[in-house]
Amino acid sequence: MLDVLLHLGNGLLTVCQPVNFMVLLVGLVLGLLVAVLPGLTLVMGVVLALPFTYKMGITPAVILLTAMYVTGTYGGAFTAILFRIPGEPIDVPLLWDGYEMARKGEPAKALGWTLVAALGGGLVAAIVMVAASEPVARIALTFSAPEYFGLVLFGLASVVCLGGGSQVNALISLCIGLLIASVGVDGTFGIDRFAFGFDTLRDGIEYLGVMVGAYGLGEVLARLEKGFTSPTLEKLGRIETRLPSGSEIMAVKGTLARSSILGIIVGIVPGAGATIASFLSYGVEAQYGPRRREMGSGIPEGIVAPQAASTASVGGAMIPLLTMGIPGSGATAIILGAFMLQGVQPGAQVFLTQPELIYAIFAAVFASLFGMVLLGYFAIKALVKVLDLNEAAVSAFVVMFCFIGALAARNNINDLWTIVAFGAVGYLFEKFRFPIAPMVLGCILGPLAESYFLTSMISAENDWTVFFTRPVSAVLMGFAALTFVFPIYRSWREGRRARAA
Amino acid sequence: MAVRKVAPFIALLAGAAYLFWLALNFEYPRVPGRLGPDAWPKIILGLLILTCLVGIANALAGRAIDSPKEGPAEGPGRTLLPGDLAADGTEGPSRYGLVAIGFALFLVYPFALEYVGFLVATFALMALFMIVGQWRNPLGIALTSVLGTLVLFYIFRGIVYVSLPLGTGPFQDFTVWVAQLLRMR
Repeated sequence: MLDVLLHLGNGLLTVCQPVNFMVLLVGLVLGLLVAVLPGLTLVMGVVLALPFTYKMGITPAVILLTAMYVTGTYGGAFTAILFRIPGEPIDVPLLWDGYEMARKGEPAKALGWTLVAALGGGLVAAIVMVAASEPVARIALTFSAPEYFGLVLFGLASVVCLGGGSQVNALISLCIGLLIASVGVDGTFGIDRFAFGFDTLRDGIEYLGVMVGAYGLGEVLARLEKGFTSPTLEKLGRIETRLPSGSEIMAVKGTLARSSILGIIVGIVPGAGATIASFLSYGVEAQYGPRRREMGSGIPEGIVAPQAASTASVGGAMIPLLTMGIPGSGATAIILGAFMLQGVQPGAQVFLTQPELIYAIFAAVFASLFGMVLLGYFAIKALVKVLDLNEAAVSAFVVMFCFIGALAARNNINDLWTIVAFGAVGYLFEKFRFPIAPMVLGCILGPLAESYFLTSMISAENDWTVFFTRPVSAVLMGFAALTFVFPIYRSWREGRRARAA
Repeated sequence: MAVRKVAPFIALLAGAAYLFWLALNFEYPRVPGRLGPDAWPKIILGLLILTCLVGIANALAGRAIDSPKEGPAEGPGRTLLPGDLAADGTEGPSRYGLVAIGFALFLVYPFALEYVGFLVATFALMALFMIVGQWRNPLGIALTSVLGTLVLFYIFRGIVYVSLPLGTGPFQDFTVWVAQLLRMR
C-alpha cells in the first residue's frame, strides 16, 4: 500500500514537471472543446490529437491523450443541459433530467450536479484503477497464449454485443477489421495475403489510418450530407455553475456509488466505453433507483447517474489497457496506438518494469479530474463560445488534422490514400448503420488474436480443445460465448413475445 | 426497400467469397500438423460469409430479430432520442452531391500535395471544403483558409518537425519563401 502511494507521489511529481504540466493543461482544454462541439466526438478528438504526440516522449504523449479522455466525458454536459445539444452520444441521457432541471429554472444547479458526479465517479474509478491494476497485472503475467486468446475473444465479443444497434452489422464490422489486420506479408511464412501486388498493401494496413479515416473523414462526410448547422447561443450569458450542498450530495450517495461502480465495470469490459456506461447507468437508475418514477422530470439522480458512470468508465477502461494491453474503449484504443507509436506495447511486463510511466499516467488521471473541475467551474463560459464557430470551418480543420496526422506517422503520401479509402468506408458504415468501433478494435486486436490462436494451436499440436481444457481460458471462452449468445437469445425471445401478442 | 437493405450484405458476401477463394490458393510450404497463413483469414472469412447470409435472411424476412434498435449508435446517423437535435427537424435532407464533391476533394488532395506542396494544396482544400460546406462568407473563408494554412504549416513543420511536402518547381520556391518569412528552418 505504502509502495503504491510512493509510486503515485512520484507519478504526481512527473506530471508536475513543466512540459508534462503544460501538456496536461492543453489536453484538458482540448478535451472540453471536443466535448462541447457537436461535430467532434471524444474518440475523434483524441485521434486528431495523436499526430501532436509523435515527437513527444511517451509520458507527455499519454498524459495529453488521457487528459483529453477524462475531460471529454464531461464537457458535453454544458451544451446538453443549457442548449439541448448533446456534444457527444454520452451526453444524450443528460437531456432527460439535466435539460428538464434547466427548464425549471435551475441550469446552474444542474451543471453543479454534473460537476459533482463527474468528480465523484472519476475519483472512485481512479482509486479502483490504482488499487486493482497491480494485482491484475500479476495475474496477467501467469497467462499463456490460450488465456490471452480467450481474453481477446471476450473483448471482441463484447464490442459486438454491447455497441447498441444490430449485432449482425457489428459482427460484420468486426470481421472486416480482423481481415484488414491480416493484409500484408505474413510474419511466419513470408507470403503475401490480400496484397494484390501493391507494395503499399504488402506493408500491411496501419490501424491508425483506419481509425483516422473512419472516425475523422467518415464522420465529416456524414455531417456534410446533412448540411453543417451551427447552433445559436442566446443563453450564453446564463452559464454558471452552482454546487449542491453537502446534505444534497449525501441524499444521492447511493446513486453516485451505484453509477460509479457500473461505470468502472463497463469501462473494464473491452469494447464498452463511456456511452454505454452513461445509458446503462441511467437505465438502471430508472428501473431500480429509489426515485425511479420521477426520472425524466429533472431530478439530480437523473444527472448524477449518467455523468458519474461515463467519467468512471475512464478509470475502468485504463485497467485492461495498462495491465494487459487490451483497450477497454475507443479512446483507450487510440492511447494504445500512442504507446505503440513510441515502440512500447503496454501490458503486464511494462506495468512491472516501468512503474514510473504507469504511475505517471495514474497521477495524470487524478490531476485531470481536479483540472477538469476547475476549468469546468471557472472557464467553461469562454470555452462554450467555440459553438459560435462555423461548422464548415471547424470541419475543414478536422479534415486537415486527419491528413496531417496520417502524413506525420511515416512521412508517406501513400498513407493519405488509406485514410481517404477508410473515410469512404466510415461514411458508408454510418449510412448503412454498421458501427465503426468493432472494425477499429478488430484492426488493433486482430494481429494479437491471430498470434495467440496460432501459438496455442502449435503448442497443443492442433488440438483446439486446448482453449477449453485450461480453467482460465475455458472460463473466458465461456464468457465470450455467453456475451455473444445471450443478446441473440433475448431478441429471439422478445420477437416471439411480440408475435404472440 | 428490401433491395436497399439486402444490397450491402450481398456486396459484402461477394467480396468475402472472392477473398475466401484467394485464401484457398495461398502458396506456402505446407508443414504437416501445422496451421498455415491461410488458417486465420479462412476462419474470419467463413464467419463473415455466415453473418452476411444471416443478414440477408433477416432483411428478406423483414424480421425484427436483429433490427437496429434504439441505443447509443455512433455519429450523426445515431438513433434519434428525445431532445436530440435531429428530432427537432433541424437537420436537413440528405445531400449526396455535397458528399460526392467533398470526397472528390479528399481524393485530389494527396495528388495535389506532391506537385503544388502543402501550402497551396491545403489552402485550396480548406477554402473549397468550406464553400462546399455552404458557408456563405467569402471573407471568412479567405481568412480562415490563409491563416489556418499558415498556422498548421508553422505548428507541424516548425514545432512538431513533420516533413510536409514542399511541392515542385515554383511551388517549392514559394513554400521555401514562406518558411523563411515565418523564420522557420
